[in-house]
Amino acid sequence: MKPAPFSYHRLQTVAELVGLKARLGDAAVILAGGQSLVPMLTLRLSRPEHVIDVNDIVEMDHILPEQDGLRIGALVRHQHVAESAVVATHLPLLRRMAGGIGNYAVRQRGTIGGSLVLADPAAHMPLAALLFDARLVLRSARGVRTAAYRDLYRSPLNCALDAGEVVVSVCFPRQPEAMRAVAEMFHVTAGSFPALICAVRLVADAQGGLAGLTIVVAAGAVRPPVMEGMFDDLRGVRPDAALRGEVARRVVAHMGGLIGQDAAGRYLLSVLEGRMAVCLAGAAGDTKEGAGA
Amino acid sequence: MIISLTVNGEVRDVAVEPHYLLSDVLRDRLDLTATHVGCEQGICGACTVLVDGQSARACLLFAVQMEGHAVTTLEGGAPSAELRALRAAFHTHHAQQCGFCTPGILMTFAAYLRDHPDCDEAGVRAVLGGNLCRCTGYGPIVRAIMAASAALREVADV
Amino acid sequence: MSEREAYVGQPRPRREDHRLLAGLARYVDDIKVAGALHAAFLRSPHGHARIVSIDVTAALELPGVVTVVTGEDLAEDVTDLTVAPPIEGLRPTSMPVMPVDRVRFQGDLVACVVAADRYVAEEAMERIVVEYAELPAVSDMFAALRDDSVLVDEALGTNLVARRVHRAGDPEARLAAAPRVIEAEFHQQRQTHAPIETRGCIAQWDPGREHLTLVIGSQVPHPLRTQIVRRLGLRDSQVSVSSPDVGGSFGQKIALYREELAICALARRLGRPVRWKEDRMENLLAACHAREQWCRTRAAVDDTGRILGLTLEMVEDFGAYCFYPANYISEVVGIILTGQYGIADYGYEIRVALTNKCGVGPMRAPMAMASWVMEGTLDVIARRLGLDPAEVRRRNMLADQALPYAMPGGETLLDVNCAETMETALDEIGYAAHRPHDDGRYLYGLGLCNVVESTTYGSRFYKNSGIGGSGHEAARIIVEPDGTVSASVGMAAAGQGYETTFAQVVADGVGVRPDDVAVTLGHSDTSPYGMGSRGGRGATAGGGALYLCAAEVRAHLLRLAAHRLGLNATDGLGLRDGRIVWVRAGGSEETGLDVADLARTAYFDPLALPEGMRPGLEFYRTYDPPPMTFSNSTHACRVRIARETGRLEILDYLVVENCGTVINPLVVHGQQAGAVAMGLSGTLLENVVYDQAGRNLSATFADYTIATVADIPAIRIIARATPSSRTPLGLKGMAEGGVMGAIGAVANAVNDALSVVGAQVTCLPLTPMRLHAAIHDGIGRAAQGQEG
Repeated sequence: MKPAPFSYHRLQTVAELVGLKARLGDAAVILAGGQSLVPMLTLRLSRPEHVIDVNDIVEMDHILPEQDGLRIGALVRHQHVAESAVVATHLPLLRRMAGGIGNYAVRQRGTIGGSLVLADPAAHMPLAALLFDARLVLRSARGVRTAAYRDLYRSPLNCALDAGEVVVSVCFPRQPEAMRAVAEMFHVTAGSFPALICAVRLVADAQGGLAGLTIVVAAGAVRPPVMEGMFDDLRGVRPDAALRGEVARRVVAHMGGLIGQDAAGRYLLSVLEGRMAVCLAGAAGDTKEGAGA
Repeated sequence: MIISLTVNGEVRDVAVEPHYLLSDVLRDRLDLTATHVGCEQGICGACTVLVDGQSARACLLFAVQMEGHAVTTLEGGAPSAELRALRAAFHTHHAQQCGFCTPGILMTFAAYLRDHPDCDEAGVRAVLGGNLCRCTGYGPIVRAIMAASAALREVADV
Repeated sequence: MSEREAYVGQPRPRREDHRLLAGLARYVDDIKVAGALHAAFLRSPHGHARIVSIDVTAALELPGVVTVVTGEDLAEDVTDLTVAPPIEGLRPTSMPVMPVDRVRFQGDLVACVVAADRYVAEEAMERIVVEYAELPAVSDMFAALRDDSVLVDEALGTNLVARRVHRAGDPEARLAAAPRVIEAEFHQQRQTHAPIETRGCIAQWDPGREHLTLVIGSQVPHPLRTQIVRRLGLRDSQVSVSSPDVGGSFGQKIALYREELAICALARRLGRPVRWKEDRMENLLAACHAREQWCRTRAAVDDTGRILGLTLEMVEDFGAYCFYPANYISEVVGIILTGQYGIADYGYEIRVALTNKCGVGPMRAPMAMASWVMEGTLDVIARRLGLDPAEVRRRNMLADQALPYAMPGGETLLDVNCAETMETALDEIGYAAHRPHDDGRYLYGLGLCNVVESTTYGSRFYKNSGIGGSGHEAARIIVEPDGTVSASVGMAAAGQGYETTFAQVVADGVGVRPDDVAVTLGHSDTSPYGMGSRGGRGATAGGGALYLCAAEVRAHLLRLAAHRLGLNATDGLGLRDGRIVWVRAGGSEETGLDVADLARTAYFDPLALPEGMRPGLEFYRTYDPPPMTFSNSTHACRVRIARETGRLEILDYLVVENCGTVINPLVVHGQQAGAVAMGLSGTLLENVVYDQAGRNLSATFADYTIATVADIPAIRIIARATPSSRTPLGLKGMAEGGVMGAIGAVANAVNDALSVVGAQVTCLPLTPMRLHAAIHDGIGRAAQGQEG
């Protein structure tokens, strides 16, 4: 297995990147951490004419707390997110999820931008970006725009950037004080990709009732759905065991419609039910440790 | 094209094509064959080297990306204290049989022990999860790494 | 401790380690050969297809491409491989070096590109245009055995490539007359060896000397040479095979594969060195697979659980091509199945099917399934009768006084202590206090697996089983002019530590220090012709041959010493750490002579040698071990299965093992633990998966998962060794039993746990999904253990 020949471009600035991407269009792929791209090239599942190496673009390698949230440069490595005190303060779940990616060597190289653009349905960072309704900062020769990742992530392995667009950074919105977020992962074997990730973001009102509930589940080869509106009727209700049971039932039913009910699907749904219970209890503050926040 | 990179402390100029993997260039162009290729899919970890001091899979990097960077392989010049301790412990604990996966494990932990002098077994196991060994069942490898870590701490305490 | 056993038994760290740890080891792909060309193989994307045409024009036009050959081209240079030993029920098969008009599995060979480097070769492969006419494929062995199946090998006229039947006593009569007949079923999935170093080789043809040199990671350099010579129409003296450091083999590096032969043929045809390095996808798709076997036992039992008669029905999937006689692997399961149990009335019927999948071969413990099948059958009997599983084992186990015991499979069992290993294991695992139970979150179970590990395989075994070939081994020892000792056998190492352990054996045999013994292996020119490394024969055949040879060296040196000391006889003389000593009661006394003195005499002062003694100090000795030696062990483990996810955790795992005399406890422990780990990996994770069209869905390490550190528990190993009565030093073998025991112990523990909810599993691997289904959907309930 050897990659096919390509032309290599190594750039120093976002401006150069935008210019070159505008010129080369779809004939070019962007190489960041390469932990997914390089195997695809080596297996010849992809054979671009041009590879643009962005690893030197230091302006994309920063983690900045901002007024309205947390900005993370596209080139920030997973290990950096996992060890970042700033992330730990603002979005502890994101830090935990980054620390659970692949293995140590993968985390040292893999980047958040690369992971979001790849949009692997079993990946951690896309799931976190969906959960927290992160926005991507996109640049192209036409200028800068921001777009909700939820809108860009259309289907597995399809993050629908416009022609010539590159991801510069990702902004996770500031979270209310009364927010708790928890994620649970399930690996079939220790060395495999997670078969299931479920993440819960719960905001409580002053009385301890539900003010907001977002659930994202990665299971099977589908784009992880963001489940939110389906809990609107539960606003104000205390997240006790009965309510959590109802939420879990809705989530499992919804996922069942997406991933199917064959043997593998039934198995994942069954595991999901248990993981949801743990997640929801954690998000409701009903366990001593909570699995996440 | 000719790239210039630092390999094991020496600046080397080497002719490569952009699509050449770092693992192949180290082995075939620079004759550094301690870096083993086990899968070329980024999974087995046998090709792990240090890039600017951090562990990385040489099969997931193009050599051309290393222009201006420093690569360390198992052959690497003067071995670090971590590598010396690991070698001694691997020998004592019989932590390698065929030895093919061993260079990747040594390089991974040369960096990890340097950055985590107070590591515990759970941490070591989590990191070792990125390296496949088909011979040992991993037990002796874990014991050797823990022994190396303890030996390094002892030296540091003196 | 007697003088002779000073070094055997010591846990000496390995001398191989230095080069492995320093990055100085030399595996095939590390060896530079100036001017070598690189080969790459174009492989079939289809499970079964006719090759209509191959157009290589565009590939040849690519700069750097030297040649592209097809099966038709190479057929001119290489004869077919015919596997046709005279074995009843085995159909002869034949295959060319590369297919000419039909590909039989996904990954089968279509063309070979030879180019300046691998990158160019792979570019060229993409330019080869092949027109295929797809044919229906059969990827299931049971379907393959139906009359209406697609034929994998049309020349055979059937997919049933082997059918073997064996009877001892009258098992059918026992079954007919028995109070109860209990049936049990076992299905082991297809696996592959997956050494971390894939296959590869470098072939060089010297046109002046008309000599072929092949560098290849091989377990069997000499038998491999024999194969090459036959296929290429050369003579033994025209081929050298050398095996450098090998990054794991596990049975995958025994056969002469078609790729390697093609590389040899191309090197000769081109007159230039050609090398090939298999990539991981090729390795998983097309190197060699193993273990896909289904078994059903029927046991005639009385109410106490005593087995009165037993039959085994076995089906094995052999894939598309036969690199070995197709009965070879499953037959050993049939032969040793009854192990340490006294069952006189026994029979087996084995059917081996061809399918459109990669060919199979032996994988570390090719007979591994035997222990699971026997011990699983005993557990089913215990459950059906409401008896204690350990007690059922006791009631059927041979008493030590019954040994040697003529097993109904035809071999003679001896030198085992099965009751001792089992009782020790029961104590250590806390058997008495165990009951399978369910705490609401987890199901808890305990599994036992007694193992009789057949090892060594002397010539008599091959003769008896009609497999052909020899089981002997050859040793050569040279005392060099400076007194150092060079030793060699026909084995080739892949991590077993032979350089260390054989030095210990030779040191004791001769009477020198291990540090003065150099062990060189793996080169057909410098090692004596031996049968190589396989079947747990390293210690017994290799170590045994060396030890016997070393004893001759010692006797010779002592005769020479006696002459130098003016004595008529060697009485009272000894050799200790290279020095000639007077052996006295309570110690020894220096004579002032050492091996270096004697060597100088032998090489440079032959007139000072005793009458009739020839100059030089080279010794050669062969050894044909017993047909089989037997190690035995008991594996025991406690597990729990999470109700929510079906995930299995191994809470405690132990092995009580009798593997005969231990040369080096450090190395032996490593082999035992490694074997258990491989068995666990196969039981829990590994799975080669084909779809119905014969497409392989497990061709990367992301899909074919092997155990990581998180999957392997701590393994306790407790030694209860007794020496073999039939071999030099009392050696047996031990590197395969761990696989056998792991499968049975874990599968039995899982079924113990599942018995709480009335479920059973009969198929491997024991994935969380499978266990979850067993717990919650009742799948597997009553699927096993039908009472007749």
